[in-house]
Amino acid sequence: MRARVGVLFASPGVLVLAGVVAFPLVYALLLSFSSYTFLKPTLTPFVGLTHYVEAFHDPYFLNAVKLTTLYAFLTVGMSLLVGLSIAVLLFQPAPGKELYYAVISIPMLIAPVGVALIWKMILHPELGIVTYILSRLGMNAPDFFGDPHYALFTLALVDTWQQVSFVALVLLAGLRSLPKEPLEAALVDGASFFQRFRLVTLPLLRPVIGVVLILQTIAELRTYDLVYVLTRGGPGAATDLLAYFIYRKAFLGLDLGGASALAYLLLFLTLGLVIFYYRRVFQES
Amino acid sequence: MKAFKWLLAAVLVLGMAQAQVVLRALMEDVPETHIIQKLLPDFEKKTGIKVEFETVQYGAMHDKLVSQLLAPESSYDFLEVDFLWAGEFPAAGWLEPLEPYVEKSGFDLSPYLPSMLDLVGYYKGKLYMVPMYNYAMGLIYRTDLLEDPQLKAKYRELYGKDLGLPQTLADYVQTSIFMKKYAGVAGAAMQGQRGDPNFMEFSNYVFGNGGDFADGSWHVTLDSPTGEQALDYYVKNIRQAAQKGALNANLDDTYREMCEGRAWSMITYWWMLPQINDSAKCPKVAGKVNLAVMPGSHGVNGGWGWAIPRNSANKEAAWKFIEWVESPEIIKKRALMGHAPTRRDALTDPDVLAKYPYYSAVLKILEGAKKVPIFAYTAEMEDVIGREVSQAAAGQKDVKAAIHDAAKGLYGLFKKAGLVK
Amino acid sequence: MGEESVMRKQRVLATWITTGFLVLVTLYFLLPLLWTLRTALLPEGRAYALPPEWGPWTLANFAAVLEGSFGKAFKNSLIVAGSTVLVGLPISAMLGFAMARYKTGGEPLRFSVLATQMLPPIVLALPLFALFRALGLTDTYAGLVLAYLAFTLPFMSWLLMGFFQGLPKELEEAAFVDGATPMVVFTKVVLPLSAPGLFAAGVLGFILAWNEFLFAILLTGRDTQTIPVALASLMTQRGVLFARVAAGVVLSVLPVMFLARVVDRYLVEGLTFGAIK
Repeated sequence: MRARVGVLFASPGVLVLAGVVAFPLVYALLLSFSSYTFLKPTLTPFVGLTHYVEAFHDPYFLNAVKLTTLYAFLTVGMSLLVGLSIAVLLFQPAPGKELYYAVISIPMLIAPVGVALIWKMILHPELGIVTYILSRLGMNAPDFFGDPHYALFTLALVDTWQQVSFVALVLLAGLRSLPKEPLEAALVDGASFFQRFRLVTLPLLRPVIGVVLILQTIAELRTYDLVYVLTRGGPGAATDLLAYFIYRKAFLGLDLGGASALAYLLLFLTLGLVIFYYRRVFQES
Repeated sequence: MKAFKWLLAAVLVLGMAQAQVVLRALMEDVPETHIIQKLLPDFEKKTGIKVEFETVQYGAMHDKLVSQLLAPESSYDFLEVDFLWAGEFPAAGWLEPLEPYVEKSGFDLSPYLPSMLDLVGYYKGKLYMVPMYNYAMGLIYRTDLLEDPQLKAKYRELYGKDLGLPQTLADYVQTSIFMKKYAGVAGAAMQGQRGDPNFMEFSNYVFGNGGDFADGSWHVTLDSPTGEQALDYYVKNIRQAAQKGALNANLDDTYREMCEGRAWSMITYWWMLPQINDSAKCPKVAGKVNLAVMPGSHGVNGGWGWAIPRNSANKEAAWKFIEWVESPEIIKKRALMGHAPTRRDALTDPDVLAKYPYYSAVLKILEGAKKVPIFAYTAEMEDVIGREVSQAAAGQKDVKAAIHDAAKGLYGLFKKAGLVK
Repeated sequence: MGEESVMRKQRVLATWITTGFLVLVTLYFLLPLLWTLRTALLPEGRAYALPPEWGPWTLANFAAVLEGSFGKAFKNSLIVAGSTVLVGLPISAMLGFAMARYKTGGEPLRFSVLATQMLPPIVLALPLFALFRALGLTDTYAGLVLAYLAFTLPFMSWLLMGFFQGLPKELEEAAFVDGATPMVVFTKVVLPLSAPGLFAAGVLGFILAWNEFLFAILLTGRDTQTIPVALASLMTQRGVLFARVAAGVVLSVLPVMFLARVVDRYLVEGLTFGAIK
């Protein structure tokens, strides 16, 4: 009886989710086994695992996988390091923290497209303010988006600028939720600030860091907006991240079947990394 | 109740039958469309047919058109088709063959330049479109820099010949690099962003060097020695003479470079010339730029064509519109308002030439313009070849490997489209 | 005595160092934002002049941007994000309630709801695009709202589930004893108590929908394009109209900033799915 009530309450939500999540997921799987293109929009003939196999023989797909994984590590690593530092700073006693907190929480609220545009203007090779400042200091600004050696790193920096905002706030909340006794005990034992941090705070913060690691990895693996606005995958193939690569396969290559297969591969990559982090962080003691 | 509904329906249908014919079309929101919009009242007066334009940005057009062409009845009665889709649409069977209409109404196709009819007219020997306007590419360059006595002297000293308008691709790249070194400007404002920008620009190098992407039977010729040399020149130019940030630049970026006087040349759509020569928009260089055909006499052709969807409900009326908008009288009016002509009569008309003297250069450009391969996967081709060109330009691949991979990619696309085995 | 003053000096030094770094960090975030604001307030040609100019100030860019396609995009974003929340919130509340109080679906359902957040949007976007084309739902508000429910519904449900779990059961049990039906208990007891949580979930869902780009660019057309799509097209069509672009960015951020301040307390909790309170 109780169970039926529960089902009644849950059914609208479950129905909607079945319709807009489960069904498309299944359809995408079917597409990935099909030869659906925009010029021949039918599921048949089915081609089995052809798209998946072809993907692994495509050097550009493998390049995209490599770049995306590297990009995820770069951005998550940088934002964790910087974010942790900021969180620690915000955790210390200091005047006027509400103001800092208010400003620091803004970047994560901006649409990634907006963030990309802001930095596109600031880092413009001729008209950007950064180029100007560097030239006044006597330095030659690198070609941020046009030089294949810098482009991916520039993207990562722009992304980190935004993500650090979120990471810092989450880690701060984590710091605030830590029990006070261990830290006080360490103080009594005469530990220095850095010793306390390394031996007490960090281990206690591990679950929170783990959550951030997982959430941010998921978010960074799916990066699309920045590539679309800033570099379109270039120069060459230097910023050809997976989500953008897949989008192009669908709408330029007109190959929805192949693109769906690649999308599932991205999903597996995400799942794989998430499970890996989850095991390392939450199941080891 | 049911009877009443039938009665109402009958009244409505009768009412609609008496109503005026209204033609609807999806048009790009650009000056070319605005010019025609100004002339529409004349058409309505002559034929009693009302025409309604729905104007959108380019990026939105393709998908909107395709969904209408796939529907049982199209809500657009006639179309403007970009040359990039001029293979896809006929191949999919979406366009009405126009020869019957041409014959029945005695429409004269002879003024149209052959390159335009080839681009946005015929597909596999059948006529599906009538050229609407063109945007071929040519060379825009600074005349004052070519006439500067110090630069002239230096050039003569280095190369033993006169500084002047380059006639070959080799000369062009040499002059461009020279300008970068000695004139304090970028030799060329290049749009190196991967995709449509760099693909269109690079294609001029291929044609200018006397090469092509494929021959008449879709055999890839891109990686011939001429093609490889064209990429070599392109890479030299972009690495040694282009503006900073060229690898990520698009059309607007290069326009700004020329407009601010920071580049000697740009290979671009010819309609850029009046934009740059405008003293209000570009005071620094207005009056100091001119237009010429791409060095090597062959540049990239581009343009739009009129077409009628096979599933249109008003095909006869749509043809009346096309007949009218492409009649010599209306063509001349459009040309005097700034339309980009596709016909010899418009380009050689004395009144038009008086207003736009550089149209003689445009005529040369159109006579020599070649088209890139137009087929179902033209858009993907731009991305595939653009990627290889971009990698070569970035130094990530050597020229030989890049042109080879580009040709391989192109062959793969021809195969996918069923054009070769 | 001396030791105390040394400790005090150390603390004062620590505060100064902390403040110094905090100011640097704040500037790191603030300067690009202020720069964008400055650029938006200058006339177009002056906006990217170098050396940078600091006047004359004008609101013309905001006006120009709102009059153009961006004004329409603003309206569209409001409609789409608002409808997503209006439709999604009641459904999410019911689902969250079922998962919290009735444990409907047990672990599998909870895991599935959480797992949807792991999906890269492109996995859903492609089939949705194909399906919407077949159903004629592209370039419609209804279509985009449906698509947005795909990620806002699980998000809001999960949040509210956590919220409901935190409510004391006694009040509900008392109402049951009084003979109220489950629906009455839900609407008359639980919902009013969870008003702050509902509000937070609604605002966060709104923000997610407001900033979303991939679904929007694939599923909208000229009539329904949302702000992120309009922003992206601002850059490609208008190459170097920096002032207009800056104005567009500023306008797109203001509503979200305001809303986020209102639900400040729940920001972190919400965005980490309750893992961190």
